Amino acid sequence: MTGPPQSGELVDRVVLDVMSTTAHLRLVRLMVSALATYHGADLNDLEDLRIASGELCANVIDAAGDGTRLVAVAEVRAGDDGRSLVLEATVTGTDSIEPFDDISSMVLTAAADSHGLGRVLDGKDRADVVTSSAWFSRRLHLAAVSEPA
Amino acid sequence: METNDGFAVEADGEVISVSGDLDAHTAPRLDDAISANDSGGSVRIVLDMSNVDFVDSSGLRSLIRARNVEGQERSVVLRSPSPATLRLLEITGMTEHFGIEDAP
Repeated sequence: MTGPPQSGELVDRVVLDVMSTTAHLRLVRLMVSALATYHGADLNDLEDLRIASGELCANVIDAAGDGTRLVAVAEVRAGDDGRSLVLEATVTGTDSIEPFDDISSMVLTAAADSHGLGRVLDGKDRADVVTSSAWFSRRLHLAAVSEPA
Repeated sequence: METNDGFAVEADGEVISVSGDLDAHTAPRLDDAISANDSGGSVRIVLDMSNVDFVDSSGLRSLIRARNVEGQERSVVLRSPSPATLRLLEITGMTEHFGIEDAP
């Protein structure tokens, strides 16, 4: 028998690996809202998560090179007083992700608790192999007791 | 015409009906439809949003662009926007830049 998850413990994880195209933004939003629903997120959370996940991935896809893939990883983690959803979206391309513009920053600031950008060279400082990622975190306000079987 | 992403735009006079998700993928089609409907330089445009379930910042930028026609600012009315659309307008502080009306 296992007890409730400890704070910070990974509760659930979903990975979406698709072509880097804006046509797949709907898939990302669907993945995130389905995962959050499963964990009992309320309607306001779901709306904000759809907004934030689409915003994040649109910026990441915008930076992607031709033929690259978008890998979006959604994780639900336990916290001291609830659960949080973290989405990290990564592409490997020739450009880094531009800093979020004013509207995107406003959207992510309002719809997520925190967000940021990352950029990792391949270890040899080769500018042509750059992994760019962006992430946000959002605490879930649970609408129902959330201990899925 | 609806495409396989479920997005469609139809213009009928000053009313442009939009359906589907308005995001970075589909917003350019709304821009095109608005431009094609701008030949008369109308001072008012109504976007029927009753069948739009989701709008992101790219869609919002399209709505902002719709306010400008031939260098002039015009009135853009959003008809029956969804709670998700209203939420985006609210968090970006853009609500007051658009007229909001219910379906006639």
